[in-house]
Amino acid sequence: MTPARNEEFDSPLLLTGPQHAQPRLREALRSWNISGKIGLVSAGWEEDEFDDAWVRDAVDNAVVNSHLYEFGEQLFVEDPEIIHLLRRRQDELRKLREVNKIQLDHLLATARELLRREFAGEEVLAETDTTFRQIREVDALYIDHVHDVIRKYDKQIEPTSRATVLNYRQRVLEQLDGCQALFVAGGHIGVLLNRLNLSRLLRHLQIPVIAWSGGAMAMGDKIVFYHHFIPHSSGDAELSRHGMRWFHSLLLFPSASQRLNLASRVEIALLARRFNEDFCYAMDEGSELEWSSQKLVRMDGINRLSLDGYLVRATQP
Amino acid sequence: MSDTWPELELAAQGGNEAMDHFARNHSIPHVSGDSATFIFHGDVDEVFLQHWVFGLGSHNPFTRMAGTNWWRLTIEFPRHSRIEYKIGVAKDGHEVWLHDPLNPRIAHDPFGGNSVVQMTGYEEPEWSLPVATVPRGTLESWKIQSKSLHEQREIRVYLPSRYRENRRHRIMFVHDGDDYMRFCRFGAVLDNLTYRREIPPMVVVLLNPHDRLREYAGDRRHAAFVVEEVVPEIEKRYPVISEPSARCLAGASFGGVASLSTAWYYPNTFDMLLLQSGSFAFTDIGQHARGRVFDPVVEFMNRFRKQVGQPAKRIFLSCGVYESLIYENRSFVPLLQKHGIEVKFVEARDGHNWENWRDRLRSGLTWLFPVPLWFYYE
Repeated sequence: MTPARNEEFDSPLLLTGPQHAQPRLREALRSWNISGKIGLVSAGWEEDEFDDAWVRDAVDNAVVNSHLYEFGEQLFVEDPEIIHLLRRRQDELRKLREVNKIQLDHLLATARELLRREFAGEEVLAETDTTFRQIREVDALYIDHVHDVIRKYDKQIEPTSRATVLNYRQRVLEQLDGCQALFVAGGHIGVLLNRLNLSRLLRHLQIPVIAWSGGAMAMGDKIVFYHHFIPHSSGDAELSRHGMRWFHSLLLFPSASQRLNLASRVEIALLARRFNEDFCYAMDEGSELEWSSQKLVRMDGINRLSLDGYLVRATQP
Repeated sequence: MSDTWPELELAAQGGNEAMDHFARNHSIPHVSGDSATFIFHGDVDEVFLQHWVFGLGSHNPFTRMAGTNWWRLTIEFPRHSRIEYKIGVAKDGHEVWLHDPLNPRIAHDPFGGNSVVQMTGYEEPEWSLPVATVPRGTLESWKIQSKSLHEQREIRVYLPSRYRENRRHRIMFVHDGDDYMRFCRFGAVLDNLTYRREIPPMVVVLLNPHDRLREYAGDRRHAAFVVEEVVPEIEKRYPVISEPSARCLAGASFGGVASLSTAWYYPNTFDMLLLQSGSFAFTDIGQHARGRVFDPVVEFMNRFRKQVGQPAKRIFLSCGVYESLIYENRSFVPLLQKHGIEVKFVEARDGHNWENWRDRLRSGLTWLFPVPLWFYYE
């Protein structure tokens, strides 16, 4: 198992941790010798899509916003059946999510307790592996069901042939015309993915991409939501759905130092073992992972979540 | 208890000069495990710790350390406690209350504030501290001529940094709003939690009374002012969601009573209440013993308890365990739940003070105004 690119997507790709506080976008563009116009997808920030002045300040290039969120809102006004279908889809997914949570709650509690005993020096039990296997089985079934629902509604929405959606994509593409690279910012990952999937934008833009934080997560095979410090929350991570699938066998955890309880071996091991089919990479400010075509060519400032609950410096697989 | 701070005993043996040097070079009060040691310097007749910890005596005498003008007192407090106090000093029959001159930590309130000791495990919440890089909300003020109160009132409104004319915002009406801003760092709390997306950007209306003990004690005129005058004016001036599900009333102490009574007089207006150390005094039989200012409160609460109805759908209650109102607040929870109201009740090892109320704000606001923070990655 190694992190790998999806062969369908060949453009250079840079995945990074958060950029807002200390952006390193200028350096990234220089290293790629890109001096022309850059497109920006900030749809994940919804109504705040155009709060992008800091991005413009962070580079020497001209930056144009894709308007992916705004044009999407206009699409829903023009063709209300789409938003109606998306809301119904959302209702179905919410029910699935609730049931999935019921299924997982006791398994995760069991795994947590077994890890606690293991790290307290008790003999490692075979039941620990069994529990994690059960969790992965539930995860796998869940993500299949999620995509059954998404496919069902895609058949009705027909995003690849529906005239209003094609027009939406065209408006965004015109906005990005002449851009030499694309920035993909974070924000609400569900909203970002919905807009990217609906517009099929990335398939029609074969240019280098720099995606940070939630934007980087959205490029992956699987989306896992996590935050150990949300008030009134169990802190259990949640497998959500497939992302854009530009790469696989790799799970990204941006803002790890703020969102993960790094002081707890149990919590870190719980994530690493649950998702042991993937490399689990913690990404903070300064973390960068660069792909050239199909090859992972550079990893800077990346820590891996280890199976025994530590963060260890990741080296190129 | 004398072995809790052996260095102090040693210094006292060296007399006043050694004690002066010792006090200059140590953090006072001295907290060790579950005990706090206070020292005071003065040529006086009596020194005592005056504090507001319900359940303990409020007049705790210091003892003079032999051969010095220094006095000491060690008290045990549970971990995670936060204690506000003053030092009482008596000389020649006169008694004064002072901030502890050796303790730089002061909690401010409308009455001048108190000295504070923070026990092991207590941490001042980082989310309440102003952060230079966090965008600040803005405050604006305007006046309204109230028909209910027969006078002009100033309304102050906090608009979040992410306020947008094209977005519809939730609204929170806060009793003693200016005191919340001054003594709870409410502006920084709102700025920080909004910036972190732990709460949605919301319009916060700061209400300030002219005659607090009357207006906030279950007075119908106050309720009418808020609901019939302030709410419509806010909806006219700002892009807010005009539904009960988007409205919250908040307040502490008598402000809690004002919030509850306003919601009770006008059901289906506010779905959410944030009530901190509410002065929910009531009687089952006979007279209450809280003084005359509580008469209208008790009258209102007794009526309320007979016919709870559904003043709101979700109520966040918090109270300090070191205040006498803890009993009323604890008994309030099952009463509300019995009437189908969702309640979140939080107790703290603190007293009836603004910093206690500040420290519970994150829990209350994030529970009442949940945001899908889970989905956001910067």
